[in-house]
Formats: sequence, structure tokens, C-alpha cells
Amino acid sequence: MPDSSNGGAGGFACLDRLPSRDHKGAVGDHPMPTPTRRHLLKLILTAPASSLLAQDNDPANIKIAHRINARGVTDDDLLFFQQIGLRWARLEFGETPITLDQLRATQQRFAKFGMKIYSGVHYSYRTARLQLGQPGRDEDIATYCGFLRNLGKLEIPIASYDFHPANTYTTNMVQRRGYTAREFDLADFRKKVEKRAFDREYSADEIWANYTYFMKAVLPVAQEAGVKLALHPDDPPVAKMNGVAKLFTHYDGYHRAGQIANGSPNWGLTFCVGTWSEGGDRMGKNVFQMIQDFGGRGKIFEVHFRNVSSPMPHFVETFPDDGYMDMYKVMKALRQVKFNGSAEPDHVPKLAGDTGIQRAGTAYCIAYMRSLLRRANEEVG
Amino acid sequence: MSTQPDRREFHKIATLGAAAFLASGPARAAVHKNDPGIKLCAQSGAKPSDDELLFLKEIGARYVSVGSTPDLRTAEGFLQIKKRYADAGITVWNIGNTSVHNMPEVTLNLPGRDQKIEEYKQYIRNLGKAGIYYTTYAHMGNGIWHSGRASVRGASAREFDMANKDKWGQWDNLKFHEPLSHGREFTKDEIWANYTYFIKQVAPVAEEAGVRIGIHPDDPPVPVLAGVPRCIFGNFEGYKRAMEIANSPNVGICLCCGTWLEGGKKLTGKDPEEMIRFFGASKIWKIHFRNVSAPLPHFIETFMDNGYYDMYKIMKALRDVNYDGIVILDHSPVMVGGNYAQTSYGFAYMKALMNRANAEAHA
Repeated sequence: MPDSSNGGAGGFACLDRLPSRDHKGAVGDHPMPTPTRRHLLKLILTAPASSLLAQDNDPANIKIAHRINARGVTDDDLLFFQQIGLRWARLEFGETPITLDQLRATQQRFAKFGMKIYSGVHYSYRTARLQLGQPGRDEDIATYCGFLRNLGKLEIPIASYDFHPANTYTTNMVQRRGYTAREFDLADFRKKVEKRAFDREYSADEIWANYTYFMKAVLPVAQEAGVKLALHPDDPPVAKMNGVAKLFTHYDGYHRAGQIANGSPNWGLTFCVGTWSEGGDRMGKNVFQMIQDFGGRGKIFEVHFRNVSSPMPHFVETFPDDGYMDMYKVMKALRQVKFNGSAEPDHVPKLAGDTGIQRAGTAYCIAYMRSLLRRANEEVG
Repeated sequence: MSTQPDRREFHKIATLGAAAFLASGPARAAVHKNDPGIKLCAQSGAKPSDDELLFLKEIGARYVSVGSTPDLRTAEGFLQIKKRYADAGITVWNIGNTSVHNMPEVTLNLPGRDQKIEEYKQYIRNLGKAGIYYTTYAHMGNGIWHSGRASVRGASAREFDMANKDKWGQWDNLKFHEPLSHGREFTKDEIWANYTYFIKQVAPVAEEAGVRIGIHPDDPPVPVLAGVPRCIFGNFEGYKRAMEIANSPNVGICLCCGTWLEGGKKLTGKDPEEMIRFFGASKIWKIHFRNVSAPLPHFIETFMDNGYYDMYKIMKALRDVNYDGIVILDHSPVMVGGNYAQTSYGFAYMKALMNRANAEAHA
């Protein structure tokens, strides 16, 4: 798209006389240029014509996306996302109610930076009373149903959710290759962290009953709204934590969730490769078998593309190139089952200097994924 | 270049070319042997902060190519740079010196060229003493050319458009303009003679010092800019002849893929992949990994993933020829988040390509 406001030659935006410092100064052979922020903001999206871009625009392709806090994101962040070529977002709204108008305004704001919203998360489903089956849960279900209807009105196709009350993700933050990442050690958890979260323990049967009650209420609404519900596994996949049974820690849990959804095309998975890798060979089906099974049936809607150092009982979250899972094989397997939903970096480790949305770490993950996806597309076709 | 050899001819040339290089005198050879494998390399400063060193470690950068500041352009200064990085577990592969890079005096035979050549020789000796075994040299008589900045996905990037009358060349503090950057038109013969004069003096010093010199192409590889032919390092035949003239195991190529893609096959005669397969690891020692929107006459520097060339072809070819030099992230469009974000993006993209190329080689 030519930038008419700048009258650039050849349809491209030209900045007049910005001092270019690409090739002088003291950094290596070819130092980096450093235009001012004012100059940067003057620039408008102008993607050069390229045969490779067409591939990224293919609706049948995997959508590289990112998890974004909808309420905290700044315009500078959005420009950054545009620069790393992000065209899809999973928006997380927290627990404060969000109106249709607010949602629409957010959608329009992202559109200005060339991004579409692929999935939405609203934590009204995460309340203790909803997940523990306590009085008042119908109010939260109603809030969530309103959110689903609004997503539908704005043609946002996916709502991602999870069901793991009293979860503990992390037992420590550690250094790996110098970067700061989350660690989970099962022995540490049992010894130092675990404590009963609620007034009493909750059995698997109870949580299943609460989950079923929730699904029976929201799935018909999702169907009517044209929105698909994508269930995230319990991270880490430990069958009981802090006195509460956890359901989605094994293939069997997903299988049963599928039965509860009763063949609805509006139910499927946010398949978290990180969580599943944490479980290793104790998950009933491994990462690739899950992709073949659920992905092969079109039941994976969203993927969390994350790696870990090793399977349980101890793991550290890593950058995609730095864990035990071969993430290229994962990407290739997703392409082989013609997965065309979003794939997102998850829990981006913290690099030196990174704050807020962790731009350097995010850039690292997105670039790595895009490179893998290109190769997978070449290989799988 | 209009020559488009057919496949059979291509192989003949390749064989002859390789033979010519192999014949370049093992007795004088003073080439430092590299550890095997492609080495991803970051560009970094001469005086990195602790934070910068940590960042490099975190992204897995084990090699750096460093620009020197004037106060550190001695053997001791280079050792100081090397030690600072070594203490953080990082190897300094190259230390640049902008003062002896793109020297118009040398390329155009201007007053002071012998002094510049002496300065260059001293620089090479200093590198050798400091145990830096590689350096990039560029031979542009009137710098690197620009016509402005353009937007790539909202990021500011270098643009060059032949049709822009205000375009300029630039190196260090010098700026060059059309129609004539140095008062007259230079002939190709002059440019060749000046290169020969330079390299014949420099090559023996490099051999003695054990330093490899990789020559960077003229950016952009327009046949003539502001009266100066870019006939040597702007196309395949030029490089081939330049290597023959140098006839030294210590003179090779820094293949700037960005520059090469700017030229396109019509101007350069071979695309980056073909260059790598022809010259191989015995002559190509450094790769500048960068993509552009289109070949000349008008290009914008892009991110690696959204230019016109599939960068995997480069990585694959490097692996196939058992390349053991460095691959650096070259210029990046300027991003919100600055240098760390830019470096992260480029480095991760390259790493994924390298991991694939290595995995495919083992498959």
C-alpha cells in the first residue's frame, strides 16, 4: 500500500533527509541506523511486494499470533507487533467486564496496525464459585456467555479457556543460558509450596460435575454465536494440586471433554505444547499423537508454541530452540494435519533489558516460529 | 553480466575455479583453521556493557563481530576487546576499523594512498598479534549509497532508488554526490590497476600475520555510480578475477547477501546460493545475512523474512559446502524496542534456518 501522505518515490514512503548512519560509526562492518522516535512514528506500513508474503496471507496457513493483554498494550507495542510481522492476536481481557463497544474499539485499534483478533479470553469463567460449583456461578456463566456473544458479533472466531482452580505454575524463577525463566519442580512443590487452597479438598468427580455444568451452559451459546471454545490443558499436568483434582492432565481428560461436548464443532483445544512436553510420556498420547488425533480431526483451534528443558518431575521453560522438544517437528506435524489456527509463543522468557511486553524475547520467539513455519510449508506443501 | 552459462559449462567453470584457488600456493599458507560448523555471529561494540554481554549470552550468540573505536586500534587494544568478550564466554571473530575500509585514496589512486595502504598493513599486523584471524575489507571508492528511508512493516529501513536524483554515497564522515564524486569519470582499467596495486602489497602481509581478508561487495552493485565503476566487487566475474589476481590463501570473500540481492542475477551473474556453491568454504569466510524488497533499480532493506529471496537457500548452501565461518545479522529495519529487539528477531530467524540446514544434512 503506497504511502500517499509522504509522496514517496515508487510507492514507498520516503523520509526526507533523515541522516542515515547505516554504514558509519563503530559497530562492526555495518552499524545499525538510529533514526529518532519521531521519525519512526511518521512511518506508515508499506510492505514491499514479495512472493513470500503471499504465503503468509494464505488463510489455510498457520496464523502466527501472540498473547496480548488487551488493557495494557500501548500504541508503541502495537507498532512493534506490526514490525515483527504479527497479523493475529489472542487478546486477554482479565476479569473486569468488557462491553461490546469496548471490544469493538479494541478490534478497530488493532486493525489500524494490521492485526486481527483470532481469539479472546475473559476470566469470568475462572472464578472459584464457577469452577467449584458454588452459589453465584450462574452470574459468572452469564457474564461469560455475554462475552461469547460479543465475540460472535465481531466475528472473532475463538474463545480460549481453562479449568484448573488452585493451580500452581511455578516453584522458582531461574537462569537458563542467562535468561530468566519459570521453573517447576514437583518435589519442591509438594514440600515447600503446596497447601490446601480452599476450605476442603475437591475430588475429580466434583470438578467434572462443575465442568460439565459450565459446558452445558456455554456451549450452546458459543454455537449460536459462531464462536469456538478452545480448552487449554492444566499446566503443569499434575493430577492433584493444592487439594483440588485436575482434569486436563492426560489424554483421557480431553477425551472425556470431547464426549461432554458431544461432537459439537464448536468445541476443541488450545493445545499447549509446553504443558504437554512437561508431561512427557505420561500423557497417554504424546505431542505428536495429540496433533494427529485431535488436529487430524480439526479439533485443535489454537496452539501455545512453547518448549521446556525436560519432562516432569522438573522442568524450566525455554526459548523455542533451547528445550528438549524439536519444535520444527511440532510445526511440521501441525502443517501435516492442515492446522490453520493460531500458534503463539507462551510465557516468553525474560531477556536482559526486557520489561512490559518483553519486546526482545517476543521478537526472538516470533522470528524463530516464522522461520520454522516457512520451512514446514516448503516441506509439507 | 550477460553470460548465462548452461549447466554443463557451469560445472566446468566451477571445477576450473576451484582448481585455480587450490593452486594458490600452500607453501605460503597462513590461514588459521576454523572449528567446523556454521557460526552465527552478532554485531557488537568495542566496549560492551555487562548488560549487553548478558543479552548476547541469553540469545545464544557465541561469536561477535566488533567495530573498533579509534583509541583501541592497536594490538593491545584488540586484545583488550577480545578479553572483555572472552571473560563472558564469547569469541571475537572480527574487529573492524572504519578508517581502513572503503578508502577512496586506494580505490581511486588519490594522493595519500600509500599512507593508507601502510595504515591497512599495520592494522592487519595488529590483528595477527591479537589473534584475530579474520577481517572484512570493502573497496568502495565513493561509499554506500542511499536515497532515503522507507517503511517496512512500519519499521524504518534504508532505501535506494536509481531514479532519485538526490541519492548519495556515504562512508564514515564522507558524503558523495552525483554526477561525479571525484571530479571525473574513472575507467575500469584504472579501478583494476588500483585494486591490483593494493592487494599485491597487502596479501603477503595478511599471509605473514595469519589473517584472512574477506572482501565485501560494492553496495549497491550498480555498474557505475558518480563516475566510479563498481566493476570488481559488483559481479561474479569481477570477484573471480580479483581472487585470481590476489592469488593468496588469505584473500577471500565476505559475501554480503543483501548487496548481492540488490544486484540480482542480471547484474551479479550468480545469486547468493550460486556464489556460495562456486567459491565454497575455502573462499567465502563471512556472510552478511540480509534481504531486500527487489533487485535494482529500486530496493528497500527488509527483514529476513519479507524480502524477495528465500534466505534458507543461503543457509542450506553454506551447510552443503561445509562452511565454517561466521554468519552475521546485517542491517535491520529500525524497530520499537531498539537494538536488542532487532538483534533478537534476526538472530532467532537465522538460528532456526541454521538448525534446519544442519538437521537436513544429518537426515
